[in-house]
Amino acid sequence: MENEIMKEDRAKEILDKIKENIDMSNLEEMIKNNFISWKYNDSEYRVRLLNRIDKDELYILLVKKLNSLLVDIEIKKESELKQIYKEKRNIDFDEIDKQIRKLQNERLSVQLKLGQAISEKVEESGLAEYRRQIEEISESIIKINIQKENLLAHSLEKILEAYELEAKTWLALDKKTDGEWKRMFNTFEEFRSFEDDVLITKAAHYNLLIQIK
Amino acid sequence: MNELTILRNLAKSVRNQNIFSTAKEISSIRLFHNVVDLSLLQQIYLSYLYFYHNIYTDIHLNKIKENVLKDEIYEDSYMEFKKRNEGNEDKDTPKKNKSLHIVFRKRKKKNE
Repeated sequence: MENEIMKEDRAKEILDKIKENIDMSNLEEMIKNNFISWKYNDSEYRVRLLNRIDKDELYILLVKKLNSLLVDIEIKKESELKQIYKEKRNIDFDEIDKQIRKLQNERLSVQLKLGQAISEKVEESGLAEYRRQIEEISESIIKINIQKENLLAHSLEKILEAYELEAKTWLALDKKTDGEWKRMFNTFEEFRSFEDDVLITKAAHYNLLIQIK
Repeated sequence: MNELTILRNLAKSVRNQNIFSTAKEISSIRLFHNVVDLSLLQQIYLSYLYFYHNIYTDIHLNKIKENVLKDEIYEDSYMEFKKRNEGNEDKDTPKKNKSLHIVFRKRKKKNE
Protein backbone atom coordinates (compact mmCIF):
# COMPACT_ATOMS: atom_id res chain seq x y z
CA MET A 1 0.00 0.00 0.00
CA GLU A 2 2.78 2.40 0.90
CA ASN A 3 4.34 1.93 -2.52
CA GLU A 4 1.15 2.85 -4.24
CA ILE A 5 0.01 5.85 -2.37
CA MET A 6 1.83 9.09 -2.80
CA LYS A 7 5.07 9.50 -0.91
CA GLU A 8 4.79 11.53 2.24
CA ASP A 9 7.26 14.14 0.96
CA ARG A 10 5.12 14.82 -2.07
CA ALA A 11 2.04 15.21 0.11
CA LYS A 12 3.95 17.63 2.33
CA GLU A 13 5.05 19.59 -0.71
CA ILE A 14 1.43 20.00 -1.84
CA LEU A 15 0.43 20.91 1.70
CA ASP A 16 3.07 23.63 1.80
CA LYS A 17 1.91 24.93 -1.56
CA ILE A 18 -1.62 25.27 -0.22
CA LYS A 19 -0.27 27.23 2.71
CA GLU A 20 1.72 29.52 0.42
CA ASN A 21 1.16 33.18 0.84
CA ILE A 22 -1.21 34.33 -1.88
CA ASP A 23 -1.64 38.00 -2.52
CA MET A 24 -4.82 38.53 -0.55
CA SER A 25 -4.09 41.97 0.82
CA ASN A 26 -7.28 43.20 -0.77
CA LEU A 27 -9.44 40.54 0.84
CA GLU A 28 -11.16 43.19 2.92
CA GLU A 29 -12.26 44.89 -0.29
CA MET A 30 -13.46 41.58 -1.69
CA ILE A 31 -15.80 41.03 1.22
CA LYS A 32 -17.67 44.28 0.63
CA ASN A 33 -19.34 43.00 -2.52
CA ASN A 34 -20.60 39.71 -3.84
CA PHE A 35 -18.21 40.05 -6.79
CA ILE A 36 -14.45 40.42 -7.05
CA SER A 37 -12.97 42.84 -9.56
CA TRP A 38 -9.37 43.44 -10.53
CA LYS A 39 -7.22 45.17 -13.14
CA TYR A 40 -4.96 43.25 -15.45
CA ASN A 41 -3.09 44.51 -18.53
CA ASP A 42 -4.99 47.81 -18.55
CA SER A 43 -8.38 46.11 -18.55
CA GLU A 44 -10.87 45.54 -15.77
CA TYR A 45 -12.30 42.13 -14.94
CA ARG A 46 -14.67 40.73 -12.39
CA VAL A 47 -15.99 37.41 -11.20
CA ARG A 48 -19.56 37.55 -9.94
CA LEU A 49 -22.16 35.24 -8.50
CA LEU A 50 -23.97 33.20 -11.10
CA ASN A 51 -27.50 34.31 -11.89
CA ARG A 52 -30.48 32.15 -12.81
CA ILE A 53 -29.69 32.24 -16.55
CA ASP A 54 -26.06 31.25 -15.90
CA LYS A 55 -27.21 28.40 -13.69
CA ASP A 56 -29.53 27.10 -16.40
CA GLU A 57 -26.67 27.18 -18.90
CA LEU A 58 -24.41 25.45 -16.40
CA TYR A 59 -26.96 22.72 -15.80
CA ILE A 60 -27.23 21.93 -19.51
CA LEU A 61 -23.44 21.85 -19.87
CA LEU A 62 -23.07 19.51 -16.91
CA VAL A 63 -25.77 17.13 -18.11
CA LYS A 64 -24.10 16.92 -21.54
CA LYS A 65 -20.72 16.35 -19.97
CA LEU A 66 -22.05 13.71 -17.61
CA ASN A 67 -23.68 11.84 -20.48
CA SER A 68 -20.46 11.86 -22.46
CA LEU A 69 -18.49 10.61 -19.45
CA LEU A 70 -20.97 7.83 -18.74
CA VAL A 71 -20.57 6.28 -22.20
CA ASP A 72 -16.77 6.40 -22.02
CA ILE A 73 -15.75 2.98 -20.74
CA GLU A 74 -12.26 4.22 -19.85
CA ILE A 75 -13.67 6.55 -17.20
CA LYS A 76 -14.53 4.96 -13.90
CA LYS A 77 -16.86 6.12 -11.20
CA GLU A 78 -15.32 6.70 -7.79
CA SER A 79 -16.89 3.53 -6.40
CA GLU A 80 -15.50 1.48 -9.32
CA LEU A 81 -12.04 2.98 -8.91
CA LYS A 82 -12.08 2.18 -5.22
CA GLN A 83 -12.92 -1.42 -6.03
CA ILE A 84 -10.07 -1.63 -8.55
CA TYR A 85 -7.62 -0.16 -6.05
CA LYS A 86 -8.75 -2.68 -3.49
CA GLU A 87 -8.54 -5.71 -5.75
CA LYS A 88 -5.49 -4.86 -7.82
CA ARG A 89 -3.39 -2.60 -5.61
CA ASN A 90 -4.39 -3.59 -2.13
CA ILE A 91 -5.50 -0.07 -1.26
CA ASP A 92 -8.59 -0.12 0.88
CA PHE A 93 -10.51 3.17 0.92
CA ASP A 94 -12.75 1.97 3.73
CA GLU A 95 -9.61 1.58 5.81
CA ILE A 96 -8.38 5.04 4.76
CA ASP A 97 -11.74 6.56 5.73
CA LYS A 98 -11.65 4.70 9.02
CA GLN A 99 -8.16 6.09 9.64
CA ILE A 100 -9.37 9.62 8.91
CA ARG A 101 -12.37 9.25 11.23
CA LYS A 102 -10.12 7.89 13.97
CA LEU A 103 -7.79 10.86 13.63
CA GLN A 104 -10.71 13.29 13.60
CA ASN A 105 -12.04 11.77 16.80
CA GLU A 106 -8.60 11.95 18.39
CA ARG A 107 -8.33 15.59 17.39
CA LEU A 108 -11.76 16.39 18.78
CA SER A 109 -10.88 14.72 22.05
CA VAL A 110 -7.71 16.85 22.40
CA GLN A 111 -9.65 19.96 21.33
CA LEU A 112 -12.18 19.37 24.09
CA LYS A 113 -9.39 18.96 26.64
CA LEU A 114 -7.79 22.16 25.42
CA GLY A 115 -11.15 23.94 25.45
CA GLN A 116 -11.74 22.86 29.01
CA ALA A 117 -8.26 24.01 30.03
CA ILE A 118 -8.98 27.40 28.45
CA SER A 119 -12.31 27.66 30.28
CA GLU A 120 -10.45 26.86 33.51
CA LYS A 121 -8.04 29.71 32.72
CA VAL A 122 -5.00 27.44 32.69
CA GLU A 123 -1.75 29.30 31.97
CA GLU A 124 -0.54 29.23 28.38
CA SER A 125 2.32 26.88 29.19
CA GLY A 126 -0.32 24.31 30.09
CA LEU A 127 -2.01 24.65 26.71
CA ALA A 128 1.01 24.27 24.45
CA GLU A 129 1.14 20.47 24.42
CA TYR A 130 -2.53 20.18 23.44
CA ARG A 131 -1.90 22.70 20.69
CA ARG A 132 1.06 20.71 19.36
CA GLN A 133 -0.97 17.50 19.32
CA ILE A 134 -3.88 19.11 17.47
CA GLU A 135 -1.54 20.58 14.88
CA GLU A 136 0.15 17.23 14.35
CA ILE A 137 -3.13 15.34 13.96
CA SER A 138 -4.54 18.01 11.62
CA GLU A 139 -1.50 17.76 9.36
CA SER A 140 -1.88 13.97 9.25
CA ILE A 141 -5.54 14.31 8.28
CA ILE A 142 -4.69 16.78 5.52
CA LYS A 143 -1.93 14.52 4.19
CA ILE A 144 -4.18 11.47 4.04
CA ASN A 145 -6.95 13.49 2.41
CA ILE A 146 -4.53 14.75 -0.22
CA GLN A 147 -3.35 11.20 -0.90
CA LYS A 148 -6.95 10.07 -1.21
CA GLU A 149 -7.84 12.96 -3.52
CA ASN A 150 -4.88 12.15 -5.74
CA LEU A 151 -5.80 8.50 -6.04
CA LEU A 152 -9.31 9.42 -7.11
CA ALA A 153 -8.35 12.45 -9.20
CA HIS A 154 -9.37 10.77 -12.46
CA SER A 155 -12.71 9.45 -11.36
CA LEU A 156 -15.85 10.46 -13.21
CA GLU A 157 -16.93 12.59 -10.26
CA LYS A 158 -13.63 14.49 -10.11
CA ILE A 159 -13.54 15.06 -13.86
CA LEU A 160 -17.07 16.43 -13.67
CA GLU A 161 -16.13 18.60 -10.70
CA ALA A 162 -13.16 20.10 -12.56
CA TYR A 163 -15.36 20.69 -15.59
CA GLU A 164 -17.96 22.40 -13.40
CA LEU A 165 -15.33 24.74 -11.96
CA GLU A 166 -14.16 25.61 -15.45
CA ALA A 167 -17.71 26.20 -16.68
CA LYS A 168 -18.57 28.34 -13.67
CA THR A 169 -15.45 30.44 -14.23
CA TRP A 170 -16.46 30.98 -17.82
CA LEU A 171 -20.00 32.01 -16.85
CA ALA A 172 -18.92 34.26 -13.98
CA LEU A 173 -16.07 36.09 -15.69
CA ASP A 174 -16.93 39.58 -16.98
CA LYS A 175 -14.80 42.21 -18.68
CA LYS A 176 -15.52 45.92 -18.59
CA THR A 177 -16.09 47.12 -22.13
CA ASP A 178 -17.09 50.74 -22.83
CA GLY A 179 -17.92 51.19 -19.15
CA GLU A 180 -20.21 48.16 -19.03
CA TRP A 181 -19.65 44.70 -17.60
CA LYS A 182 -20.11 42.02 -20.23
CA ARG A 183 -19.40 38.30 -20.18
CA MET A 184 -15.83 38.01 -21.41
CA PHE A 185 -16.33 34.96 -23.61
CA ASN A 186 -19.49 34.31 -25.55
CA THR A 187 -18.93 30.59 -25.74
CA PHE A 188 -17.33 27.98 -23.50
CA GLU A 189 -15.13 26.92 -26.43
CA GLU A 190 -13.72 30.46 -26.68
CA PHE A 191 -12.99 30.39 -22.97
CA ARG A 192 -11.28 27.01 -23.14
CA SER A 193 -9.06 27.99 -26.04
CA PHE A 194 -7.98 31.27 -24.42
CA GLU A 195 -4.26 31.14 -23.75
CA ASP A 196 -3.65 33.63 -20.96
CA ASP A 197 -3.31 31.25 -18.01
CA VAL A 198 -2.57 34.05 -15.54
CA LEU A 199 -5.96 35.66 -16.10
CA ILE A 200 -7.90 32.39 -16.15
CA THR A 201 -6.17 30.99 -13.04
CA LYS A 202 -6.90 34.17 -11.14
CA ALA A 203 -10.52 34.13 -12.27
CA ALA A 204 -10.88 30.46 -11.28
CA HIS A 205 -9.39 31.18 -7.86
CA TYR A 206 -11.71 34.11 -7.22
CA ASN A 207 -14.61 32.07 -8.53
CA LEU A 208 -13.90 29.45 -5.86
CA LEU A 209 -13.97 32.16 -3.22
CA ILE A 210 -17.36 33.54 -4.07
CA GLN A 211 -19.62 30.87 -5.58
CA ILE A 212 -21.88 28.97 -3.28
CA LYS A 213 -21.95 25.29 -4.22
CA MET B 1 -1.10 33.47 5.52
CA ASN B 2 -4.00 31.87 3.70
CA GLU B 3 -7.36 33.43 2.89
CA LEU B 4 -9.14 31.82 5.79
CA THR B 5 -6.65 33.16 8.32
CA ILE B 6 -6.90 36.64 6.82
CA LEU B 7 -10.69 36.41 6.94
CA ARG B 8 -10.57 35.30 10.57
CA ASN B 9 -8.24 38.14 11.46
CA LEU B 10 -10.57 40.61 9.79
CA ALA B 11 -13.55 39.24 11.71
CA LYS B 12 -11.51 39.27 14.93
CA SER B 13 -10.43 42.89 14.62
CA VAL B 14 -11.96 45.23 17.17
CA ARG B 15 -12.93 47.66 14.43
CA ASN B 16 -14.93 45.06 12.50
CA GLN B 17 -16.44 43.67 15.69
CA ASN B 18 -17.64 47.18 16.52
CA ILE B 19 -19.14 47.60 13.06
CA PHE B 20 -20.79 44.19 13.42
CA SER B 21 -22.29 45.05 16.81
CA THR B 22 -23.51 48.42 15.56
CA ALA B 23 -24.96 46.92 12.40
CA LYS B 24 -26.99 44.52 14.53
CA GLU B 25 -28.53 47.49 16.33
CA ILE B 26 -28.80 50.04 13.54
CA SER B 27 -30.18 48.72 10.29
CA SER B 28 -28.81 51.59 8.19
CA ILE B 29 -25.26 50.46 8.95
CA ARG B 30 -24.43 47.65 6.61
CA LEU B 31 -21.57 45.21 6.49
CA PHE B 32 -21.73 44.66 2.76
CA HIS B 33 -22.78 46.70 -0.27
CA ASN B 34 -25.16 43.95 -1.33
CA VAL B 35 -28.10 43.11 0.89
CA VAL B 36 -28.98 39.73 -0.61
CA ASP B 37 -27.07 37.02 -2.50
CA LEU B 38 -24.10 36.78 -0.18
CA SER B 39 -20.95 35.34 -1.69
CA LEU B 40 -19.18 32.39 -0.08
CA LEU B 41 -16.54 34.76 1.30
CA GLN B 42 -19.21 36.96 2.84
CA GLN B 43 -20.98 33.98 4.41
CA ILE B 44 -17.76 32.68 5.95
CA TYR B 45 -16.85 36.17 7.15
CA LEU B 46 -20.26 36.56 8.74
CA SER B 47 -19.96 33.24 10.55
CA TYR B 48 -16.55 34.30 11.91
CA LEU B 49 -17.97 37.63 13.05
CA TYR B 50 -20.45 35.67 15.18
CA PHE B 51 -17.73 33.26 16.27
CA TYR B 52 -15.47 36.06 17.57
CA HIS B 53 -18.40 37.97 18.99
CA ASN B 54 -19.02 34.92 21.18
CA ILE B 55 -15.39 34.73 22.28
CA TYR B 56 -15.19 38.46 23.05
CA THR B 57 -18.40 38.19 25.07
CA ASP B 58 -16.94 35.36 27.16
CA ILE B 59 -13.73 37.32 27.69
CA HIS B 60 -15.79 40.32 28.73
CA LEU B 61 -17.77 38.14 31.15
CA ASN B 62 -14.45 36.92 32.54
CA LYS B 63 -15.24 33.31 31.61
CA ILE B 64 -11.94 33.00 29.77
CA LYS B 65 -8.68 34.90 29.47
CA GLU B 66 -7.76 37.05 26.52
CA ASN B 67 -4.88 34.75 25.59
CA VAL B 68 -7.42 32.50 23.84
CA LEU B 69 -7.14 34.98 20.96
CA LYS B 70 -3.46 34.25 20.50
CA ASP B 71 -4.04 31.16 18.44
CA GLU B 72 -6.69 29.81 16.06
CA ILE B 73 -6.33 26.37 17.63
CA TYR B 74 -7.16 27.82 21.05
CA GLU B 75 -10.15 29.66 19.61
CA ASP B 76 -11.52 26.62 17.76
CA SER B 77 -10.97 24.32 20.71
CA TYR B 78 -12.65 26.65 23.15
CA MET B 79 -15.65 27.11 20.87
CA GLU B 80 -15.89 23.37 20.30
CA PHE B 81 -15.81 22.81 24.05
CA LYS B 82 -18.36 25.58 24.62
CA LYS B 83 -20.66 24.17 21.96
CA ARG B 84 -20.57 20.66 23.47
CA ASN B 85 -20.86 21.97 26.99
CA GLU B 86 -23.83 24.16 26.20
CA GLY B 87 -25.40 21.25 24.33
CA ASN B 88 -25.08 19.12 27.47
CA GLU B 89 -26.44 21.90 29.64
CA ASP B 90 -29.43 22.14 27.32
CA LYS B 91 -30.01 18.40 27.62
CA ASP B 92 -29.74 18.44 31.39
CA THR B 93 -31.79 21.55 31.97
CA PRO B 94 -35.51 20.95 31.68
CA LYS B 95 -37.26 23.47 29.53
CA LYS B 96 -39.43 25.25 32.05
CA ASN B 97 -41.07 27.59 29.62
CA LYS B 98 -41.73 25.20 26.82
CA SER B 99 -45.19 26.63 26.30
CA LEU B 100 -43.80 30.10 25.70
CA HIS B 101 -42.70 29.41 22.12
CA ILE B 102 -43.85 32.32 20.07
CA VAL B 103 -46.32 31.50 17.35
CA PHE B 104 -45.66 33.96 14.56
CA ARG B 105 -48.45 33.00 12.26
CA LYS B 106 -51.30 30.62 12.62
CA ARG B 107 -52.29 28.83 9.49
CA LYS B 108 -55.87 29.58 8.59
CA LYS B 109 -58.08 26.62 8.11
CA LYS B 110 -59.81 26.30 4.79
CA ASN B 111 -63.28 27.83 4.67
CA GLU B 112 -62.56 29.74 7.85
